[in-house]
Amino acid sequence: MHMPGNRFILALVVLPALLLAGQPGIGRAQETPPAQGQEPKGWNPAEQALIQSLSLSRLPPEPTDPSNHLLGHPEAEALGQKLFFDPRLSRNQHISCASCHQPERAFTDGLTVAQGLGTGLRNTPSLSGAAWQHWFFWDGRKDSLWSQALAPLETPEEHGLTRTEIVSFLLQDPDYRPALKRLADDAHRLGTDLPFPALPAAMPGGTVEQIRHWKALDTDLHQQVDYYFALTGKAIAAFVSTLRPPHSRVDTYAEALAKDQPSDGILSDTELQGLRLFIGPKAQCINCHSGPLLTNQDFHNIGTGLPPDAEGRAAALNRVRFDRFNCLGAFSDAGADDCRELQYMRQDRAHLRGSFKTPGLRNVSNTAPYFHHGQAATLEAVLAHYLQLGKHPDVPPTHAPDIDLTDTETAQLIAFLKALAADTPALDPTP
Amino acid sequence: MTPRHLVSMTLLAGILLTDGGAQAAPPRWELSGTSDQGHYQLTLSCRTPPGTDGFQDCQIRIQDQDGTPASPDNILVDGGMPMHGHGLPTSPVAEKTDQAGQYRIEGLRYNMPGAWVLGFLIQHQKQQEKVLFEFVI
Repeated sequence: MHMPGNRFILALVVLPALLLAGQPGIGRAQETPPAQGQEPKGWNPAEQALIQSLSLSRLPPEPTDPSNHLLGHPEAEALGQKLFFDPRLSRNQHISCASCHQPERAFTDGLTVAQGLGTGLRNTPSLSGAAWQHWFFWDGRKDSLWSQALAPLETPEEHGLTRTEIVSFLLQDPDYRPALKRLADDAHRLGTDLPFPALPAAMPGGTVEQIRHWKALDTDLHQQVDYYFALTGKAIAAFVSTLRPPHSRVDTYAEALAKDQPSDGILSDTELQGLRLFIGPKAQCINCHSGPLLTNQDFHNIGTGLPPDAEGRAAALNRVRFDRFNCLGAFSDAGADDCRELQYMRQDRAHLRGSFKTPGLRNVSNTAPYFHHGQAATLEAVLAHYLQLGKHPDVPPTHAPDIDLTDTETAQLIAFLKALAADTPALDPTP
Repeated sequence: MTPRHLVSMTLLAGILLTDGGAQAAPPRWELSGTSDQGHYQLTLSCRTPPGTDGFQDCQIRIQDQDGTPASPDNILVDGGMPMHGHGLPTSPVAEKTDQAGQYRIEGLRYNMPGAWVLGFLIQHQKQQEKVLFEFVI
């Protein structure tokens, strides 16, 4: 693992920011937005390029994850779909992945924070388009979708099982056992008639008793349990990777522009003015909410990191570096050259304190409430948060720009965000 | 470009470099600058201009005042957005190649449009000098 050198630019970067606060940005669209109520009159080439950069057509047709050889594997996708909806993968037999990632709610739950066996710490993010991202959870403590999928299974407030219980259940189940056997590699393939041994409830990061039981297991059994645990996550990820974000009216508009086809009426004037604000220097949303998923997939302090959850990315750095199931780990299918995000991730805690991952904005109006703590109930509340940043001298500085919008502009921006909505196709527990 | 940042800088974006006139090489994005103490000339050469869609594949060439390839003890890479008060999203490194004075930059990525600073701290025998580049994505 690469270790970072001195951050010799940091002072240089931060000081001018303070000196230059309030000056207009460089290199962003500089055109003055049209007056309120006036229809936008076309886009300049830079603006057209920014609009196209948000289009779903820019998202690669298939996600890639070199650490998961099951991606795109039809049998793994089918197995993953069954696992995703199976409530038996929880201590009370009532919680599945779909309990929080509900397809009919754009794979969120509508709650402030997740509710499984207990109350979780953070808001449930949508899974739509998740497979095209490279950090997972609000703090990025996982670097692959398959590794992310494993964590809730072992979290007491979510599924509440132990690793041995999960693997024992799957390898004794008449449906799951043959499917996992077929997907396993030769080194880990189970014997035809060999029952998987009954194991005590054990995992390396649970209660004292669970950890003691885990340590008492044979090393080969650790390897076997971890292998099938990882394979389970890879199958779930194979299914989730099929959840391409649905097409919105914003995409229809961008595609019409790209093809020089008529675009009148696809977006309303208010939505178009909101789009102009979104990509322009006044609101600067596109600085972080960029690309076809409307996220730059990085970590920023926007003033939401408050006690008791104030650390954000800073607290996740060592967790992902030393995660047994990370891209560089023994259960990853990736070569070292495939793990550059992990290998070269930024690691200075001070700079990352209070930073959380930029959420994608596709279907954002269907994924309330907002922020990692779910404290913003509406898009209006989200915008109100940004507008008050930098206005109070006692509020610590953030990475967010100082933004001023009129009430009309705020409404236009929200109208644009709502135009990113799209219906999520219905999904059944059985493939 | 402020004087304290850089003495000289040349942008050769998109220029087709030819190989003896026989075959056109891919266009490269290049920046050159002299270190703040004047002892080194550093050229950053990338396969593509900086963008927000993945890692940038770059090398640096470093020479001393006589134009001889230099081999300093260490080169650190850092950067950020002064207008936003944040740094690079990654921790890139400069790794020596087989060729004298040439280093491969690994792990360099940007995460938003706007004005960026990319800097190289050249460390040699308890001395250090820096070369800073400013550009806009």
